[in-house]
Amino acid sequence: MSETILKMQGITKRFPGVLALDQVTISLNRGEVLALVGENGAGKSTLLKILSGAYTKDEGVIEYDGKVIEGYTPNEAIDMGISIIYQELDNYGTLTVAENILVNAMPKKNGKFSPIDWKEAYKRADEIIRQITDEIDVTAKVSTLTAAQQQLVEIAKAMSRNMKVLIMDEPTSALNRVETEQLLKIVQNLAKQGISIIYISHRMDEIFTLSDRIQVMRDGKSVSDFVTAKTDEETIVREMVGRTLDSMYPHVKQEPGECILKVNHLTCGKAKDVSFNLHRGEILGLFGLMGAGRTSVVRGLFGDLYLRDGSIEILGNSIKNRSPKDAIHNKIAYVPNERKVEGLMLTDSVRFNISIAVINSLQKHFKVDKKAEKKMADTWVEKLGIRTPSPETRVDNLSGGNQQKVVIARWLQTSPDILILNDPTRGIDVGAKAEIYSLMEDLCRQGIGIIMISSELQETLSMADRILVMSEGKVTGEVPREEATQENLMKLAVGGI
Amino acid sequence: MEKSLTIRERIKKGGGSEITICIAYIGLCIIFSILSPNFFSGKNFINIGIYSAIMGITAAATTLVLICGCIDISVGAVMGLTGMISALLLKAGVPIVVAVLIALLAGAAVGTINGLLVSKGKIVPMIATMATMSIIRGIAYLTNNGISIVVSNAKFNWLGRGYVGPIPFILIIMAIVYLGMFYLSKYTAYGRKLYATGSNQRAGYLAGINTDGTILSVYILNGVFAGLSGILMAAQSGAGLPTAGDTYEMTIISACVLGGTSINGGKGNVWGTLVGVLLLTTISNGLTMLSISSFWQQIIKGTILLAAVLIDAWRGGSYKKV
Repeated sequence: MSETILKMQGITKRFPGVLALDQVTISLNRGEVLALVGENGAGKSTLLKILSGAYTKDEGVIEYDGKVIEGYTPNEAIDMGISIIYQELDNYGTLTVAENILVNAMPKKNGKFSPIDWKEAYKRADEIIRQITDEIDVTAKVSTLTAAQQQLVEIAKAMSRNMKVLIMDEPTSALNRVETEQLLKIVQNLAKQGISIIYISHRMDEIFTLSDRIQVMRDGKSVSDFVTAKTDEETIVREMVGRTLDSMYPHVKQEPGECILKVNHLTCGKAKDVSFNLHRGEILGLFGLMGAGRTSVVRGLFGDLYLRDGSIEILGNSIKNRSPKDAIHNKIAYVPNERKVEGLMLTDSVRFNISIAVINSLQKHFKVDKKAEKKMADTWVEKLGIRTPSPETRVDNLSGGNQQKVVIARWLQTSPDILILNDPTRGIDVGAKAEIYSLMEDLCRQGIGIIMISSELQETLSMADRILVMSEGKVTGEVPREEATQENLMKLAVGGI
Repeated sequence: MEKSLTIRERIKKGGGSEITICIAYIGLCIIFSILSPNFFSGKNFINIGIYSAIMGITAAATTLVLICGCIDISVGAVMGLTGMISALLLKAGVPIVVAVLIALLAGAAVGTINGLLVSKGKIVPMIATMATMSIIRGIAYLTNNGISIVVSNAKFNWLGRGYVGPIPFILIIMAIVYLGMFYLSKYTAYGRKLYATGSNQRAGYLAGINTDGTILSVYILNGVFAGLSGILMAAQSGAGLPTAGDTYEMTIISACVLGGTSINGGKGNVWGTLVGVLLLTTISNGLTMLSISSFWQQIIKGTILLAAVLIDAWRGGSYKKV
């Protein structure tokens, strides 16, 4: 079984000014699940894009199925059996599942220019998708499916083209626990059928349940590879960051300060009748399954959703936020969960992104004080350890973790009393995560109250002082840190039986 | 390594498009100078300037609209309207200052409507301004039943034809407009909000920017400056023409794009637009001197626009983030 299907040897890729990959070597056996791990910017995506034909390599050899392959397009790669599923799914949302699966190979009645044989198309697509799930109707539009089902459609699409190697780039980042488990099972089944899988994820538990081998990349190099059964999480994390991490979750419960925020019967968006308090120096976790209404609560709080009912009190004063502008004025800051969509002006510089929320205060006599602005950017770059060539670098050139720090810097500059973090560590690597946790700890010590939404149970359990659990828009429970366990949180999250 | 990255980013940020278009402009002037003996003279360049000014004034404001991620194709119609309004009022004996102010207000009103349709009405900018373009053009015709009005007020005409020393007055206005717009877009908090709104409206809103207000204000600005262009056009030609400014919107947007302003918002610069306007006017001027018909001129202008955009896309593509 341990026959090598793929070997990438001495792969080097340069982008102007950057050595993205430096002599990377990896190999993959038939029917094996290889986890590819590394911090953001380690070169995983570049390597896989070379493999899938989206980029061309500068140096190195790719051996696949016993032959050296070179100079192929993504489409030719798929024909050879190498398929990739990107983190951001690129499907055709307005078309049916069947059309997505069969894309270029829709069956025709007779000849190339005759009409599509829909009956045959649905039948074929159905046969393929049934190998992995029974839950998807091939005539449904893809945009009506859940993120998890869309993943499965992508897998089915790859299967329809005779896949031998499947590359999955963080497939579970948008899935909940149940969906994740289902997907992992499907991936394991594919491996049993002899398909080789390269799996990228930041989630250690997934990597350890799923993979046979773990390949670690760091700074564009392939640093080490481990047999999963013979290693542990700590070793992998150490290899990824190239140093030992102090305790990952530094948060120590403090004596809570004065009550800074009182939310009464908040009803907006999906949230129904939500009430809670927040104290200075406290981290309040908002936990719930996707769609439980957590984001509605914080958006309502931040003036981004119309309040159908309820009131907000800050330091005893009743306030109304008609827009985020009002909320900022009331010393609330919001780090949204989709940093590329809601957080950053991607084509603008780090400096621009940091100063934008306080740009009015930087203006004197109709002129933005550029010196003060530069100083502000420099200070935050240093304080938060934002790794960027310069504050003038466009943020889309930074890794996810550093982009997140830019968004956080913007909000800290507004000197908030209340900081809302919506999934602050989503899709960012271990090193940056640890940095964000320790930053949260610092902020608490300074007396800021933090509301944190997280899709990671471990993170919620380790960082929050108090956890508010929501289900279907309502608060189903409030659990202090000492009493919180995975089990009781999940129980409350599914409806609090 | 870090240094080279910064320079590339600087090129990427928009400086690149400006350099390209400046080189193209100089190349074009050299070609025309060789082909036509009359082209390279101070007098001819002042001529080019005068022809550029009317379009150029609006193009400066339109650049800000594009930076903000919107588009405004009603400007040509606004020029027709304000030209007619000022001519009508002058004919009725209204003092020049009042006539000009009322015409500018009309421009501002159209801008307000455009801005509200886009910001509050959430209508796609292209469609909203296409509709107002048609409506405003219709109103321009209705003001005097489609008949043009001759303006024989020497003081008013001076606005479009007069000189201050050796420099045409209209060029002074254009210079002031460009300096003002440059300052506004690059040095003020308002300018930052324009770029932020164009780059990512949602993120801008969450960062506390009144994005609806920003969009509204930039449309008003564009309406006022289109209005000013229309008034100057009436002053220059000595008549209010209901057809004035027809298809100018396309030339103006071409000039912005030639100058490196992105149709997708968040990127652009008024100096690039200025060179874009000069480039298009110079082409007309040079080709006319070479007795090439206006039909060919249209084809050549379209080709240049395509070439500029393709070159930029290709460059943008090669620098794309990976």
